[in-house]
Amino acid sequence: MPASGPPGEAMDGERARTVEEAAAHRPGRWLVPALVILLVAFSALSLMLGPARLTPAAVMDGLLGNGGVAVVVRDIRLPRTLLAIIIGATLGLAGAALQGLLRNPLAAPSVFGAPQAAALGAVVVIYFGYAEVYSPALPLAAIAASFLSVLVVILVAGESASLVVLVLAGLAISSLAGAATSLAISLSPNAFAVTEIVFWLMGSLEDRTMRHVALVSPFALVGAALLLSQGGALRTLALGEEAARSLGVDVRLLRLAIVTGVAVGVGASVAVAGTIGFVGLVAPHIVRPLVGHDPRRTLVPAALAGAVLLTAADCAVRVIPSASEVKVGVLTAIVGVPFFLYIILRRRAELAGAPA
Amino acid sequence: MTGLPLSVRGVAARLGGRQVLDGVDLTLAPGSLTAIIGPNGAGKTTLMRVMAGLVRPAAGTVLLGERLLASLPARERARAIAYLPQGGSVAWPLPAADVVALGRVPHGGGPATGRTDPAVSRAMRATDSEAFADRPVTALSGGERARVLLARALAVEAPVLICDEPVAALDPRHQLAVMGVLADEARRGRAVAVVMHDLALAARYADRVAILASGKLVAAGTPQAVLTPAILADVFGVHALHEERPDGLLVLPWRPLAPGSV
Repeated sequence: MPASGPPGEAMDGERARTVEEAAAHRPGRWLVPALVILLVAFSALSLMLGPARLTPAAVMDGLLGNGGVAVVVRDIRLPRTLLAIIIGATLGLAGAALQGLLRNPLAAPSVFGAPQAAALGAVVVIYFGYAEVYSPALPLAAIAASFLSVLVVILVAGESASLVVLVLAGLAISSLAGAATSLAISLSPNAFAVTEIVFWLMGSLEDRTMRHVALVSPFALVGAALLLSQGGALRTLALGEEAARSLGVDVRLLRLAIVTGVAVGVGASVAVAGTIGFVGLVAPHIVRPLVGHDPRRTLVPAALAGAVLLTAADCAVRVIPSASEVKVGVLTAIVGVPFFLYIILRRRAELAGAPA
Repeated sequence: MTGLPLSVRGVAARLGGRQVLDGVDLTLAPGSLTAIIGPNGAGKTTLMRVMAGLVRPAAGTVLLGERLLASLPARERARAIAYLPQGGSVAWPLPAADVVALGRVPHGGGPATGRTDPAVSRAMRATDSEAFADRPVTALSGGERARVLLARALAVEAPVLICDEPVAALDPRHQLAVMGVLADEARRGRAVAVVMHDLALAARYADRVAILASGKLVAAGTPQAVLTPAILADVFGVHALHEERPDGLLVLPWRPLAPGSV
């Protein structure tokens, strides 16, 4: 038998703050209700804004099918608002899930080139004339391409996924997708195809119909279900892959579910709205400190925050004075890229320390 | 939940084309702390990963009690074997108590219920980490973080506990304290394996010592039988001070031996 040693008494001893007392400090109970209220407010605003500004009362009338504004509200602004909510939520959730999987706050669909790859997938389909705009071939091609891009980045970055490797791999993928898309444009046989392709490059929610909503919804739901199913595993993964596996987490299944969920959601979103970047990067970042950095409890608030951000951005493009409407994908990039730089700035020490 | 031996029989493992384990036989007995020592690159970590069920051996079997480890569902295995990887880090600034509560995941628990889970409180008390229960784990010192991660492994309350270098980041006082905790866990009936480099701690706290060198088990037995000057010279190339004291064995590496003098 070993000597009993000094430890026993050294490690006991009463502490003023017990583990139980700490339970009172759970953050973020108010977060989801607050985000829902914000989302409702911006959705209402989104139904009111446009070339003709409507009062809340007129919007209510229109939604109920009364009055002359019913067509404007129900057929033009409602699909646009619904798409902003669905796609914003999809992007926010996808970003939170990827950040959890890679244990890295710089991970996001757009950093991986997933939207660019999805756009390429859609462009290829349009270019070869395989599909008209409402065909499911478009989202399927976009999903396949974004699946491939996320998978390649994850495989290249490897399990440790240092910031530098991750960002470089994503840069390579989006450059490749961008170049291939440019090639498709320059080889385009006619001006109509060029117009169609340019449509994918500048994400927008303008002139969408309920058919677009119907097209994206099932994919968004499946993707969200896949991502949300892995919440517990993502949380355990905070300890690293080895420890997570020792706690019974199937890391391979986790990785497959996240990559598939992200590809399905982001791919379908790009298929109906083009590339809208950086919502997936920003949304989880805003909510994470408010939920105690728990990867599982980040998921739903990140989805809500994404929906709020995109709905708000889509309202903003309608009030920014310009000759033609600013594309919402351009706006999210203009806001998102400085944010991305800001995160890099804050983690500069870590980046500098990362092995080249 | 106590009283399950874990044994490996003729285990071999390859890593990137290199043979890292070769015909290793070892049993972790309930109620016993086994120190696994050996030079760098001897295969200690791989052996721990094989025993934890995280790596399938290229040959040989791993038995938990009388059952093949490979045949166990992941969750059952996770309840039976707690594994503390080497130099672990936590990706997010989670509160320390939530990190410890992750040890309850195989039992259906986790951070949501962790604050009221007695196993979490016990583990934090045992590792003297209650004082920073609410602090972000990423803001802790290396030693504090190591204790929180050990508490996470203890919170599983598994019959088998495997720790890969749990004292590497600790100051002397906490090295002794943590080894004492692990010895206590063994005395409660668990089978405990600890990879370590500190021969003095191995001599003082281990019931059994197993020495790995170049993927082979070269010696296993009581510290008195295994940590002999001859074996230490042979395996590590060091001359060690060696003294039987009334309260235990003192082994202290003293100077390297010249190459070829072994």
